[in-house]
Amino acid sequence: MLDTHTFTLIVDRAIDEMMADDLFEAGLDDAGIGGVNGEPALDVDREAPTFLDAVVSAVRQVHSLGYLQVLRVDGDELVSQADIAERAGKSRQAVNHWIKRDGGSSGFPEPAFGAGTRSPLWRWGDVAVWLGEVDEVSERARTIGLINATLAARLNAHDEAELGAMSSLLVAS
Amino acid sequence: MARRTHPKKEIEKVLREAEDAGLIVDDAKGHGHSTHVISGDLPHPFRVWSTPKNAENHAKQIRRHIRRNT
Repeated sequence: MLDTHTFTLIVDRAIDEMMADDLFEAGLDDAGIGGVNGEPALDVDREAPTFLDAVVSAVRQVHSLGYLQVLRVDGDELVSQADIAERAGKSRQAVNHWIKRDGGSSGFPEPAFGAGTRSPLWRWGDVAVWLGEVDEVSERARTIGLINATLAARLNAHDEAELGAMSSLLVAS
Repeated sequence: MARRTHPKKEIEKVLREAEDAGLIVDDAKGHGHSTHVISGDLPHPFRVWSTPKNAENHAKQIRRHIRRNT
C-alpha cells in the first residue's frame, strides 16, 4: 500500500472558483483549496511511493495550468490524536494517556491549534521528535529545503537552461 | 436561506463543525467541482469539493482549515 503524504503548496495568487475547477481537473482532487497564514494555499494529502514523488507530481499539476506558480512547500503537517495513534502504532487510549498525564510529566508537546477544544491538532514534527523519530523528521525537512531552494531559483531564472547552467556553475568543483 | 447539504456525510459533519466554530458556509455559485465555500473573516476561502478523491481526507483538510483560522 502506498503511503499518504501531507503537505501544503503556497501559490502566487488567490484561487477563484474557476481556477479551483482547473486544479481539480488537473488532478488536484486530493487537495483542499484555501489559505494558510493569509496566503493562498493547497493542502494536499497524496498517495505516492515517496514524499518527493508526492510533492513533485502536485507541483507539476499546478504548473500545468500555466497561470499559477508554486512559491514554496510548507511541510508543517497537522495531526489529530487519532492520526498520532495510527502513525505511532499505538492505541488511541495510549496516546490519550500521553496527552492527559497530570502535570505534563510525559513532556508530550502542546497542540499547535485548538488547545482546550475537543479536537486539537499537533505539528507532526513536534510529536515525532518526542517519539524519538528524529531521522524521519530531519530527512523530510532536508527534502523540503531542497525543493524550496529549487522553486525559488525557478522563479528567478529566465528559463530551464539558465537554471541548469547556474546550478552546474555553482556545484562544479 | 439554508445552504445545501453535502452528499458525503463525513464532509457534512465537518461543515457543521465549521459553522459551530463561527465560520460561514455558503453554497458555491457555479456548477463546477465545488459545492460549498467556507468563508468568514478569511482572505482565502476554502472550496469544498463535491467529489473529492478521498472524502475522509477532504474532511481532515476542512478540519485543519477550521483549526488554522479560528
